[in-house]
Parts: sequence; C-alpha cells; structure tokens
Amino acid sequence: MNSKSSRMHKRISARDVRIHGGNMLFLLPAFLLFAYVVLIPFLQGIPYSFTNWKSIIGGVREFNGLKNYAIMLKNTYFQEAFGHTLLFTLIYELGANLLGLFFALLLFRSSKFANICRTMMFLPFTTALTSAAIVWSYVYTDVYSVIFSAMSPLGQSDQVVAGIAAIAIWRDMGYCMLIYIAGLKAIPDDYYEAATIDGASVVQQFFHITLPLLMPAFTANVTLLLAWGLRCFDYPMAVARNMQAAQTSAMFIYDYIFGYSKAGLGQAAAVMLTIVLILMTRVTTHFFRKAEVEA
Amino acid sequence: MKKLIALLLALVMVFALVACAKTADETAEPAETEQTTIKNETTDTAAEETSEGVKDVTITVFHYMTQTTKQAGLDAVEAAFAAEHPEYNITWDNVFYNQGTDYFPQLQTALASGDQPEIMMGNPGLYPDLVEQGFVADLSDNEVIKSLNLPSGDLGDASADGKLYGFPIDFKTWGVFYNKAIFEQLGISEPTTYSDLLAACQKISDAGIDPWAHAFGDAVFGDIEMRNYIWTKALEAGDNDVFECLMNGSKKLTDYPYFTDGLSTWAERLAWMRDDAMTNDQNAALEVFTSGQAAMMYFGSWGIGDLEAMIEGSDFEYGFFVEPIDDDGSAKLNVQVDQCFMVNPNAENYEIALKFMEYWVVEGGASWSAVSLMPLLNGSVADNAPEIVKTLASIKASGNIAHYGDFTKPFNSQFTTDWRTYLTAFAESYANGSKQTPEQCLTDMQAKFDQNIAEG
Repeated sequence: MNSKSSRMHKRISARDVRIHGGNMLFLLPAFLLFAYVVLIPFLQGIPYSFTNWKSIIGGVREFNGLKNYAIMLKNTYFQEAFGHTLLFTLIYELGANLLGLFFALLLFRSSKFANICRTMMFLPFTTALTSAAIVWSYVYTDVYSVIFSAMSPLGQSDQVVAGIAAIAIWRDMGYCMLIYIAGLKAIPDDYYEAATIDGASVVQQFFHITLPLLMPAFTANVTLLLAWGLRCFDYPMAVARNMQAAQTSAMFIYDYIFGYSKAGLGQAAAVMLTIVLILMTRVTTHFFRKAEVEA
Repeated sequence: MKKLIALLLALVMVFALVACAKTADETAEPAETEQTTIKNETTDTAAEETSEGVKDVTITVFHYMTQTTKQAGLDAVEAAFAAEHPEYNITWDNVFYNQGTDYFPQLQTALASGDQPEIMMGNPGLYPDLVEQGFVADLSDNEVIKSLNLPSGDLGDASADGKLYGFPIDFKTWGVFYNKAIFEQLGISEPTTYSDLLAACQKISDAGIDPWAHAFGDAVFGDIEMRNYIWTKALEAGDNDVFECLMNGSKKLTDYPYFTDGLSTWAERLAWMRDDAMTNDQNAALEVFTSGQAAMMYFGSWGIGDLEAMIEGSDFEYGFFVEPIDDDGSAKLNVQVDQCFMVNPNAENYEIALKFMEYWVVEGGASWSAVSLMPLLNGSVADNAPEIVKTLASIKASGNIAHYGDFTKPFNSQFTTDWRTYLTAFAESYANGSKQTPEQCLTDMQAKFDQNIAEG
C-alpha cells in the first residue's frame, strides 16, 4: 500500500472527530442557509429541464428527454448571451484584480492616510448593484458624455459590455484590494530584506517574492469574481435592459422562465450555465492552487 | 469550556436559522406594497365578521402603475368605494412593480406560491397564461360592462380568444408633444404632413435647438414611435390579424410593405438625435423637453399627470399633435386601453373585488379621472384635466382612431420584447451613424421571430 492510500485509510481518531466536527458545526448555519436558498431550489429545478413545462403558474409538464438541451445548444441567441457574459467576466476579472492589486500595493502599509484611502476604496462595495448601475448611468450621460463629447457607452452596442464591466470594476476592486492587502501582510519582511541584501531590484522582488506568495489571494479573488461575473444580471437589467448586446446568460434564463413562459427551456439553459460555471471555477481554482507556494 | 460555549452558540445559530426560515415562509410579503386601511382599525385576516356585523376584508391589487398620480387615483377610487360600502372594513393591499421588468414575473411567482390576489392589472391578451390557468374570471356576461356599450376596440383590448376577461378603465394614446414657445418663436405651426414635420425639424435644428428629446433607454419608446405608422396602415389594409400571423409564422414581416415603409419613414426623423437619446429614460427625456433643450418629444398620455406635476409653477406650455405618417393625411389617433384589470375567481374576496371593479367602471370613474387625469373610455374626463386630455377624449369619442383592440391578437411578451429590441437597435444605428437599412432590421427581427416559433 503506498503512502497516499495509507493516509486515506488512516484511522480517524476521537480527537479528529472533535476538531473537524466542531468546524463542521460552525459551517452548518451558512451551509443550511445556502442549501435552503440556493442548493435545494436548484436541485428541485433540474427535473423540469427535461419537460415541456411552459408557465410557472401551472400547465402540462411532460417528459421530453434532452430536447430542451438540444434546442438551447443550437440557439444562437443563447450563445450570443453567453459570449457577452464571458466578455463581461473577462474585463471585470482583469480590471478588478489588476486595480485591486495596484491599490493594495500602494496602500498596504498602515498609516492614517492609507486607512482613509482603503475605506474610500472599499465603500463602493457596500452599494447595491442596481444602485451602482443607475448612478453610473448618470455619470456616463452627464459627465462622460460632456467631457468627451461622446455617447454613453451604455447606449452603444459595441461598448455596452465594457461600460457595464467598468461599473462592476469600480464596485468590486476595493474588495479585491482588501484580500490582496491581507495577502501582502502575510508575507514576512525577512524575504524582502534577504533579497535586498542579495541585490534584487524592486521589480525582481515583486515577481519572485510578492506574486508567488500572493497566489492564495489570487485564487480567492479570481474564483469569486469568476462566479460573480458569470452570473451577471443586475447591472444590465438596471441600465441596458433593451440592448441586445448587453443580454447576459442570466437575463436570458430569467426571461425564458418568467417572462416568456418557456420554463423548461429556461431551466435547461440554467443547468447548462451552472455546469459551465462549476467547470470554469474548478479549472481556474486548480490552476491557481498549483501555482501557490508556502511562505 | 470556551469550545463548548462556541459549539452551543453555533447550535443556537442553526436553530435560529431554521426557525427564521419557517417564519419567513409564513409571513412573506412582496417587496413593494402600499397598504391602505380604509375606515376602522382592521386585522390582516380576510373576511372576518366583527361583532358589529362589519366584515373585515383584505383586497390585494397587483398593478404596474408606477406613476404617482395613478397610484393616488387608485387610492381615491378605493376610498370612494369603501365609503359606499360601510358593511366592509377593507384593507387594500396595493402591490406594484415595473411592467417592463418585473411585474409579470412577480405576479407569476406570487400565484405559483399559492397567493391569490383579488385584482390583477393587465390586458388579458398579453397574459394568456393567467387566462389558461383559470386565474381570471370570464366577464363576457357581465351586465355592468355590457351597459357601458363600449366599442369593439375597447372590448378587444380587454379580451382574449374572443372572451371578455378584463374591466377596461381608460385609454392611452401617443404622439408628438411640443414646446409652444419654441414653435411660436420660429413661426412653426402644427405639422399636418410628414414633409411639414421634417421641415419643422430642420428649422428647429437650424435655430440651434435639438428637435427631439428621445427616451430609447426605455424599450417602449422605439415601439410607440413606430406604432402610429404600423397600426394605422395595418388596420387600413384590413390586416387585423397581422400580429397573430407573425406569431404563428404564417406570414413574414416582409409580407407587409408597411413595416419597411414605416422604418424608412422613421429613419428620416432619426436624423436628429441627441447624444443622450439612447440612454434617456422617460423622465430624463421629459426633463430635456421641459427645460427647453429639445422642442418635441414623442410621448404618451399615460405620463401627462407626471408632466403636469413637473412643470407646475413654471410658464412652460406644451401642445400635442398626432404625428403625420405621410403627406396624404392618413394619420389617425392610436388608442389602446390603458388601465385594465382582471379579477381572480379563486381569490377569497372575489365577490367584493368584482363589486369594486363594477363600481370603478361606472361611478368610480370620476374619482379616478379627477386624480389620475386620465381620459375615460366613454370620452368623459374630469373638469380639472388639462385641455389636451379633453381634446384626446373628444377625438377618441369621434371614433376616427386606430385601436389596438381591433387586432385579433396582440404580440405576446417574447415577440413584444424582440420587436422593441430590434427597433431600439435600429434607432441606435442612427445615433452612431452606422444607419441600418429597414431591410436589415426586418431580417434580424424575422430571424428572431423564426427562432421563437421553432421553440414552440
């Protein structure tokens, strides 16, 4: 028996049960809430994706196999909506993480000024998504348009996704910054001192010490923002409802289930989106975990 | 010891969570409710007989009247009805959502979870699921509605599949609202031909004023700018089943020449667009219009109350004309039943709700119109209503109109969304200079329609 399998078959001691049982118990409230609000309703919904269910207020629900999945896979408008969602997620991920990291590097050392700046940076995260979107729609119209003599990006198909992503970046980069600050503070100063004595430049220190040791923070931020990005709904719903180019997968699903009385089809799209979301999150987490090093 | 306390606290949290979930289930209420208790103190239980013989009842009204004047109008009718019926102690639970985003989803969710609102706003043809699933009472034999002697269009807008399911209250129409001062200053009179309208636009633009305040941030505005042309021409051609045929796939958009012609005509008007045209919603565009930055706005009668409130105390004066659609004088006032209410036969207080709606369409109409400033279907209107509302009511009474209720079926929600989305995209192409052709717009729209039909 190799060492890996021997570890797997290691006898669980009473102490392990006590420690892990206690930890599990602390997780239980959050898990129960998650299960009650998200997990159970979603699992209950899966069987509907294999039916010809139309309206959520009743009607026939006959089993139709994988027909809904076949229709949705061929639906070019669903594919387009997914493309918009991916584009939004990409811009949002890059923007929020890069700016979050930039501000974390500027502000991670404690001082009165840095503390005030951190608070200001984090404040947008406390605003509701729809409020942020509506306020920014005015910023685009009344400030951006006036300064640049250009139309608001929210009114242009080729810019609307970027325009919405900018709102999301503004709101969430403060959150990313805090995670990065926590990661930066966990890196011992000794490494930098040793590197300085060895003649490493600031840039070299950043790429060879800071970045590798910040990987756990990257894992957390990238995974979380990936999930938030892929289920983007509130922003376009609030400020670009009637723009075809701003239609996201989540909006598409919402319309099919609640607006168009095509609940079976919408549910199939929801299941597919969830599978994609799980896969992408899993791959991303795996990639970043592999890159993590211990301080 | 610390660990034990921590474990106990975690257990308490778990139990609290479970208990809260159960309580929330039992007391869940929709997000935006406006509860008005008329007369005495009431309980929130439905239909309880008190010792004095007065019955406590709760009437839930689901609606999408987001304008404050209309909400006040509803309160006024409810109060008037309650005053007429001292035998009931009524709690009115007025629940409203935005029609364009969440009204129907919220209503469906409420019904799916077992709630049974007494009254639901909406034209039945637009909500076939409610009709099919038995949430709407058949009013075909209702004597009160029969006694109103409403024309076919008004009844059509309150019907689905040939049966009457709604109480129609008032009507809406749309057209061009203009700034009287700017028109007078530039010597422009109300255009009667499309050429006149384009000439007026040019004259206004030459004077350094934007001819139009647009509100394409609201999906409906592309739609209402096209309706005058499409509805009028379709009814003139006898194509009363145009929307039905497009939805069942028996006809294509290009089978009807007025779709191409309508877009071409609209495109000429879209030559004058402000930078904020695509993002303004109705209120933002109204601000542009009432501040004098734009001379005209394509707008509907539903917002006259809010427009009046916006210009109260100022010397701003506006006029209205039906937009000419050609140089032959074919334009007609478009009319659609605006406020229409269905009654739920499964609701606990169905009978009282029915009485209330019967009251509203007869005696309560005056209370409604006086506060909401809306013109009633029979052509009557409150004395305090602006002159424009009285004019609209008289045109409607004359019968020289194009009525949406005269079409065999309205577009359902998916077709409506697509229609509006592609019209907005068409408008956008004129804002950014790429200028889509009418044919391209119709091709894109038809492809989406075909997809809808293929999905079933």
